This record gives sequence, structure tokens and C-alpha cells, in this order.
Amino acid sequence: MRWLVDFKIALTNLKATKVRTALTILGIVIGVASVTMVFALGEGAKNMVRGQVESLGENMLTVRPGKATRDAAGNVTSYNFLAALSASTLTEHDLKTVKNSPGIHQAAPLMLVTGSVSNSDHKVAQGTIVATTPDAKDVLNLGVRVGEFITPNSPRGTVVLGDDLAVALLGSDTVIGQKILLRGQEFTVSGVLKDFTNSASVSNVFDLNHVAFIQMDDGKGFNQGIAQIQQINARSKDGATPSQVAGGVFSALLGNHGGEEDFSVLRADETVQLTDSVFKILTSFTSAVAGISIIVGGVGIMNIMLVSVTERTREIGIRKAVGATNQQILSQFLIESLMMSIVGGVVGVVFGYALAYLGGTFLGFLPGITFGIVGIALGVSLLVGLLFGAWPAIKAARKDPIEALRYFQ
Amino acid sequence: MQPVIELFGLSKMFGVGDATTVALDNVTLTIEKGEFVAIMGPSGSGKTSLMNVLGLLDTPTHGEYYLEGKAVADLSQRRRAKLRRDHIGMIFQNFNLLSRVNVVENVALPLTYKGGLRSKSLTNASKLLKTFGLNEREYYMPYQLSGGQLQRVAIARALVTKPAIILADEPTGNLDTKSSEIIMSELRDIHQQGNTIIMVTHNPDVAVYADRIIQMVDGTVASDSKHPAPTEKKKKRPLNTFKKALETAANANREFAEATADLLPPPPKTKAKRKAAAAARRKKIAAKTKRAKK
Repeated sequence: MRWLVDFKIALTNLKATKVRTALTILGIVIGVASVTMVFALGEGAKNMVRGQVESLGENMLTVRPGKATRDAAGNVTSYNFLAALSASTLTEHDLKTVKNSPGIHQAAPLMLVTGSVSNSDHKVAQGTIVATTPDAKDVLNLGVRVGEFITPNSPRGTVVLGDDLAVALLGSDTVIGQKILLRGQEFTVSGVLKDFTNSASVSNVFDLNHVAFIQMDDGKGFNQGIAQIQQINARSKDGATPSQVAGGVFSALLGNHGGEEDFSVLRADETVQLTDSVFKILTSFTSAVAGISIIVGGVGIMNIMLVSVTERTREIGIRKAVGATNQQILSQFLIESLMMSIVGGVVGVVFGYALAYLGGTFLGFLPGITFGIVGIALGVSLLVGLLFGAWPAIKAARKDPIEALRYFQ
Repeated sequence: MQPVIELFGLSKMFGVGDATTVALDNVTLTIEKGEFVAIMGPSGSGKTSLMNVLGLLDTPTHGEYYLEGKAVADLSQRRRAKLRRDHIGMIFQNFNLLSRVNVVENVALPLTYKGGLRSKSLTNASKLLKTFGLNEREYYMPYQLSGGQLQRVAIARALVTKPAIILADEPTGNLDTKSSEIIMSELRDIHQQGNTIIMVTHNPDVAVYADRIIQMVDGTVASDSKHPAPTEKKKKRPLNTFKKALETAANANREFAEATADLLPPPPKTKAKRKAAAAARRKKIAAKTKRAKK
């Protein structure tokens, strides 16, 4: 009951100094809004990464050249990106080894072929030539819009185009039997893939909507007969534990490579772990900056409350003279600072989400809304009000009533 | 009669070492229930210090203070605040109302700190305001009222918890004669209803309303005289005994002045003498400066 009275007193006093109160609240709003925005965008990035893992499928294994460093718990901490620039260490023999490893259902190589993609009029389009085997269709979950994917019976010189590439080259995504040029050689389109919404998911290297899939033999033909495999994707059998299968693949390949760990075997979650960790670092850094702005807002509250306590010294004296205890004075001033910080917190959360949606449209993903973020933002603003309101409130409560009654402004 | 306030050897000192000022010096005093006491005395005689101690706003340096038979000198802040709220009503020279709160809420303020239903507190405050003829001003803000009205609001606030004692520190100090009369007759009515009132005042016209006058000098009780409470009729023609009381108070003042007379240079009595003294001073200074020049 008394809280309600304190609440009313606080409201009266805050209303009496509207501009001051509004500016103080603004400080908290800015702080809370920036924290909310950073967290919401961080959550959105996390959701995006999680979506990628889900689209990959839990049972996807990726073999890449270059060693991945792991911590004691087995989590990937860094990955030797330089390996991607040098000649790949993966061979067709490795592909066979992977296929024959226990628990592996299917495996497909990805061989990047450097070269231009153009139509018969020599109009060049942006595209990536990738040589692979027919298994890639199942391993990479490729949907085919028209025609068919590369089959074991496909004649040499067959190409399957990504949706966007087909449109760019031939003006339509239903073009079967038309001719295009890869590195100047003529290829016949046998199929066009479905549009991928999350095209970065499979490889992290190239865009599936701009890919031209050819057979391994054609790929080797462009590369002096050598299979230069950049990546092997594999699916473990249903019911097999991905980490166990990955361990098996790893030791089998280690044998192939003579004990030299110049490759890495990544599970589905590990392929996105690096992206995830980059986002995490980014989020924690920006939230630290946002946190500072909350503290600045808190200092604003403290400042204004100290002014308020001094201005109202006489009022404190009167209240004490008619029987207010120190605690009652304390709670009155604390409630005032809490009201400012909570109002600032609520407005800040709303503002923060508005900003996050605005930022999300530029970044290409939606911010995540969770009770956790709202809880943290409101909790932090409450804490700020309590922490920075405490000293002024204690100062008010400890005022000597006689001195306070004698105070003149 | 049961004593409401008992003070034994009460002292209050400010400062430390050589800078110590004695505000109250060994005051022993008993105030019975239902008395209307006026405390008089020159500035610095300890009246306000006594009021602060009686009102539990301040603690005595030495001595004991019994409020309604209970020792209160060494109570915790919290207990003192509660005693202030429930047993003491205070009236100040400058009214001390909360400026941002309307009249009825000002009156209900002590009840607010007591707790209980808010609507009930406001109803009580409202009823009380009615007895002061201020029920139509309930929702006015303090700045919309006259001084006399403000002081009546302050008295209502002091009475709202039905306290054992009412302390009034120069209640008419900021008021004109007419308002003073109204306020004093209000206080007299309250006194006649059985309330104990302790009032500090400089003004003998105001002290007339009291039935006991305590004269303070240098932190001690110089005189203490009682007379029957004046009724409405008698107020207009004060009793001889009461006149005597006032005279004793005045005498005490004079005695104090005489006792301390040699501490001050004697004031020149007439205008001519003052002029002569001034001329003498000027001469002296002129002589000094001449000597200095040489």
C-alpha cells in the first residue's frame, strides 16, 4: 500500500520537472536501445547460422584441405584458410576412402574449375564451374527444376546450371539442350537446379544459384587430367553418430596422407562454428560498447537525483518532522530513480527492436526476439536505477531533519 | 494529573573543545497532560533547541527525557520517527507544508507514513479540515492560500494523528495580527479539548493564551509560572496573576540584561550624548592618524 503512495509521490515529483525527467530517461533509452539492438541482431545472426546447420542436415560431413585447430573439448577454434589458396591435398583416392569409411552413406567431391562461363554469343556471366559426381545431387540435397542432374550415363560435355546462372546466360530457367561455353568449350545443358534461398549453406565458398555443375572427367580434362578436389561432402548413414563417423573418416584419411594432418573433417555444426564465433565476438564487443552507454545513462540518473535531493532538502525535513522514517525517505527516492530507469528500459527495448529491424533489412537477416533479451534489457535498466539511485536516496535518508528544515533555496 | 513530558538534567551542547556552545544547560522540567505552555526568552536562550529535543528531532547531550513515561533519549532513528508520527504534532513559523501537494494530502501526510487505507486517511484529513472551516479549500495547492489558512492547515496536519503533545514554534511569527488571533484561538480551542500544547513565542500578546509561561535564559529555565487557563471573556482582560507572570518574565529579561550589562559598552542615553561620543571617537581617530603620520 505504501509503495503505491511512494509511486504517486514519485510521479508527482517527476511530473514537476518534466523536461529534466525526460532527458534523464532519454539517457537510459539510448543505452537500453543499443544493448537491445546488439543482442537482437546477434540473436538473429545466431538463428541464421542455426538455419544453415539445419539446411545442411545433421549428418553432413565436410572434408577440406588445411588443418583445423581444435580446443581441448574438440571445438574448432581456427581454420587454416591459407590452405584453400594452395593446391588442394585431397585426391580421388581420398574420395574413395571416405566413401568406404564405416557409417558413410554417400560422398561427393567438389572440384572448382577456374574459367569463364558464357553463352553461345560469348556473353560472359558470373558463375563458378564445379566438377562433381552424380552422388552430389543427394549429398548436397540439390533440387532439380527441369531436366536431370548429372547421371552416370550422362555423355561428356553435359552441364547442370544453377537457377540464377541459367537466367543470366540464357534468359530463362527452363532451358534444356541449349549450348553454353565453359572455358570456350561447348557444353549442353541437361538440367537447371531449383532456387536456393540459403545458397551459402553447403559450401561457404560458392553460390549454388550461380554454379555450373559438370562431370569429374570433364573437370579433369580442364586440369591436365588431375582431380583437384577442394572439398568432399559426405552423408553418414541414418542412426550413425556423426562424431564417430567423422573420427573414422579422419583416421582413414590420415593413413592416406601418411600421418600428415593437411586436411580437416568437419561436422555440420562445425562448418558454421567459425561464422558463429565471429558473430559472437562481434556481438560481445558491440554489447560492451552499448553497456557503457547504459552506465552513462545511469550516471545521468544519479546526477539528476542528487540535484533533486538537494532541491528538496526542505521537503525531506518536513517529511521527517511529521514522522517519515529514514527507510521511507529512502524508498521514496529510490522509487523515483527506478521509475525513470524502468520507463527508460521499456521504451529502450521497443526502440532497440525498431532499430534492429531497420539494421536487419540492411544486413539481410531478421533480428531475433527472445524473452531473454527483453528480460536482460529490463533487468539491466532496473539494476541501473537501483544502483545509481541508491547513493542519492541514502543521502536523502540520512539528512538531519533540523538542518533540512532550516534549508533555504 | 499525569506528566506528559519529564526532563531531568537535560543538556545540549554544540561543537567540541573551546568552540563548545551550551544551548541547553541542565534543564529539569515537567509538563502535565492538558497544559498550554508558552516558552519565552531572548534569541539564543535555547528555546528552539528545547523544542527540537522535545520534538525528537534532536538528541540531548546529557540528561533524560520521558515522553508519556517512556525514556526516549536513546531510541533508534526508526523508533523516534514513529514517536514523532504518532505522539507529536509540530507547527512551524513558516508552516512547512509540501508545496507540490494539495491541502488535504498535506494534512494526511502523517497518516500516509503510518500506513493503512489511503481513502480513510484522506477522509480523516478532510473531516479535520472541516473543523477548521477549510473544507472548501481541500484541493487547493498551498500557494493558493493565505498565511492564516496555511497555518490552520499546518495545525490540522499536527492534529491528524491525535498526538499526545503539540509543539508550536512561533506559530504566529509570520502572520499579521488578525490571522494571529485566529490561529491562537484555534490553539486555545484545541487546548480546551484536552490537548497538551507547548509553544515558543517572543510575543507577550500570544503568550497570553497559555496557562503556563516558562522563561528561558542562557539555556536554563529562568522562571516558570502558572495561571488558570483564560476563558474567552478573561482573555480580553487578562488576569492580574497572569499579568504578574508576564512581568516576571519581563523582569527575568531585564535581570539578564543587567547581569550581562558590563560585558557590553554602555549605550549612550540621549541623542546629544551619542553625538558627543561620536565626536570624541572621531577626535581620537584623528589624533591617532596624526601620530602615525609623524
